[in-house]
Amino acid sequence: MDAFGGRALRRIGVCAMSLVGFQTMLARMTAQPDFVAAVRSDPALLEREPALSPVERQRLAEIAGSRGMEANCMLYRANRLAPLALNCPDTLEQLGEALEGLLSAFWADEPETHVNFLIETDRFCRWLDARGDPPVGLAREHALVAARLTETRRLAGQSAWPMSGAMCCAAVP
Amino acid sequence: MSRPKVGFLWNPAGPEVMAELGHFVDFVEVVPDRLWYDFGTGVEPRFFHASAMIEMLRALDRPIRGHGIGLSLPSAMPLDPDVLDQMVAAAHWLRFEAFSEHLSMFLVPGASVPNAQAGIGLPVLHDEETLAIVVEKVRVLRDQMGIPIAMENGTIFTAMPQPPMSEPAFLNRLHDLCGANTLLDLHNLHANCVNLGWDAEEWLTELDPWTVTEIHIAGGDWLHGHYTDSHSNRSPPEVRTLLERWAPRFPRLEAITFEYHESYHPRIGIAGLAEEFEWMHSVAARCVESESVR
Repeated sequence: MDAFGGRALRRIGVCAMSLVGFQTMLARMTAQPDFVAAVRSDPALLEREPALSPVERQRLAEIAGSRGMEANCMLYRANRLAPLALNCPDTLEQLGEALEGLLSAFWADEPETHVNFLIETDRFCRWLDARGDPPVGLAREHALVAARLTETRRLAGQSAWPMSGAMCCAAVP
Repeated sequence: MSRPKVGFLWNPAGPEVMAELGHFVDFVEVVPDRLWYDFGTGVEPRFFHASAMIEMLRALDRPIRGHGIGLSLPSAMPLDPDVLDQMVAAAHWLRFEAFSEHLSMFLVPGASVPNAQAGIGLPVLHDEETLAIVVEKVRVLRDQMGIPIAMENGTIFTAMPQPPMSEPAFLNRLHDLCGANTLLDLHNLHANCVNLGWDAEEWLTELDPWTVTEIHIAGGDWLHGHYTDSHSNRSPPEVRTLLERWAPRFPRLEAITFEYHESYHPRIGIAGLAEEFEWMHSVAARCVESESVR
């Protein structure tokens, strides 16, 4: 791992662990508006996080209280919605007013966004189906997503470029 | 100083842009992460390549600059070696003349999966710890790609309280320590001025002009009282003023890039793009004319 920035992390030692805690908490606040609200009303909540230094707790409390945090949370949700809106628009339309609550529940169950839009959508479709009484459009749209996923998986590994030059990274201890 | 080149961030409308306006386009900039589907760490094979797009770019008779989003250099975690390999291979295969990444956090450390996405570009604490992490990773990138590496200033909605150093000071230190250039995104800076009350002139005055090798311009939208870097419009007047005033002051400026998202191609239109490119070329010409006064 050293070749990929691990050396710097090791050199920084304990402080880096604190930075990990800080970045993780910032990401958590962005993904969870309820947590932001909780920190706003009780900043002492952050004292329960042993990985944070006092100044990091103070920074996070100030960030939670800032107006811009609302934009962070809004854009997080918009960006997580994007793959679903692109790949299963009819399902989302049919969910109507139930959509917002369902999305929050899905994101609580699956807090980590997958970078691959098809996998992210497939996860949502499976999750929605498992709840029972799915919208009528779900089966058709999920089938299309699953087919694209299967096809891209089948073709994965057919590299468009030679990898021999790049793989030398892996040889560094 | 040679005249800065004018180009745009490649998107699926790129072929139409090249067919209609290719005479304006000196180079294109490519986000390598958009050239593959990533099935995630631990999956083998992990990547599906958009081969047709890759071949189209390789056949393009223009220099290509790489602009990554997936490495998340400021995150307190090692680089993802598989993604790094793909970036390096893309740089070699498409013969990137330069590569840039963002000074924002896109990946979350400490998650249960190594490449957990933050969902947006989160603000970075500009301190010695983050600096050491970014320096180390920039050196890896430069060694593997063999081309200049630049870091782009971020667009944020929440300022980092009590920052040990400012963003331009951080970029200056990066250049001093590892030779990382600055990709100056004037629209990001403008958005931060609108949302956070920053002073663009003050910010730019603090930045070492020698570090700047590329400038990004773009346009955005308002969303519930926040101005966003949505790449959804032509550049606003404030960004134009900044480019005209500041571009001639950067002696190593190589490239001026217009960024827009393909879903806004109909809104901006070929005529709008043509006007944007014409203006960018006029600024590029002015950079050469003003060289004698630098």
